[in-house]
Amino acid sequence: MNDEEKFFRFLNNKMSNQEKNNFKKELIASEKLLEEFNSYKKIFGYINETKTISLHPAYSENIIPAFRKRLNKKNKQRLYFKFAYGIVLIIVSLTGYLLLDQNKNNYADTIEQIYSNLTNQELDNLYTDYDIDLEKIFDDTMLNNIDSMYMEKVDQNYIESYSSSDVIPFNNLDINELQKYMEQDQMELVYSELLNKKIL
Amino acid sequence: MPDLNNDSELIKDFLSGNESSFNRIVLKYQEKIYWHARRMTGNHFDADEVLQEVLLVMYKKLAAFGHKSSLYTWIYTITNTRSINFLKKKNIIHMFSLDDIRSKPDEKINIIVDLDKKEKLKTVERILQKLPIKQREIFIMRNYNELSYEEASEITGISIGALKANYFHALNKVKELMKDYE
Repeated sequence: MNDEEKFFRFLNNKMSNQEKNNFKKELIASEKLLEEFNSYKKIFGYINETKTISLHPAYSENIIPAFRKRLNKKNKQRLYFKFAYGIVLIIVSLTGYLLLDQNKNNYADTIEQIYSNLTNQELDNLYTDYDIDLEKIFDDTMLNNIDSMYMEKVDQNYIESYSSSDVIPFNNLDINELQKYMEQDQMELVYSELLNKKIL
Repeated sequence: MPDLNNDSELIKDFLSGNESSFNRIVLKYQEKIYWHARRMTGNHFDADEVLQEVLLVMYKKLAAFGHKSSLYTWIYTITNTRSINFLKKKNIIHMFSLDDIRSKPDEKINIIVDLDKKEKLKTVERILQKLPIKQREIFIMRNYNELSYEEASEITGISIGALKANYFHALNKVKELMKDYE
């Protein structure tokens, strides 16, 4: 047991009589130990006198009422918070719903606008020039919608002429450069057909 | 009717819905809670704040009290933790605040009636506030609550060796500081 523990036990009356007697002998025998003990005893005196201090009744009797008041306030705040949270949730849900709804309509309008601004040739080029695999991008419903719009917008004469095997639409190809892309006998065939058609 | 001296019965009665049993528990321990908070925080205003926080925690968590320790040990642990958290929060606020944070002026009523004890209390509070929190904690536990190192270790979660070291430094510092008040 170190010195501090001895001081602590002695001053707090935790030593047996035998231990007390032995400790007193140690104090008499060592001046340094006695000095340290006195120093500790002074601190202990202050602590002892401030260990049990009664609170003024005006304060102590108000502890529970103050607590109850605080508890009620917290319960009310919790209720207001839940109410406010509910309101915010409703507002966010409504806003989200309205925004999504708005975007859906805008998207449809945008597609309509795009189609109405395209020429017949450009509509046709959408499929061939850009090699878009629309089936990967759109679902069946959207593809049907696109087809319907295409049929509505493209000139009927153009469709009839395109569907006819007599007409071959050229996509910005210079007819004089056909030889770059075709065999000689194929070119002869094209020229002879063209001579019979209105294009040339 | 629950036995007013029996904590378990009071707890059981409170959990069954009798609010007055909780009030009885508070009456029994309120001064111990207050004084431990006061010694840790150094002034009445902060001690009162900590006391109210501890009562709120007790009210909400009493159902979870597992009777693994005495009710007083449980309450003491909460008080100690809340006091330390309060001091840390106060230090952070003080660190970032441009204003000089002082404790609010003391209460209008005299909490301590005995004037002689009031002066000694002020001396002790001034000395304790000069100790780091961990040293102050073990010094209070050993000298005011007469806890053994084993009991203090259980409450704080700090090893006995570390507690002894903290106490040794605290005691030496207090001895030095006491010389100014001779």
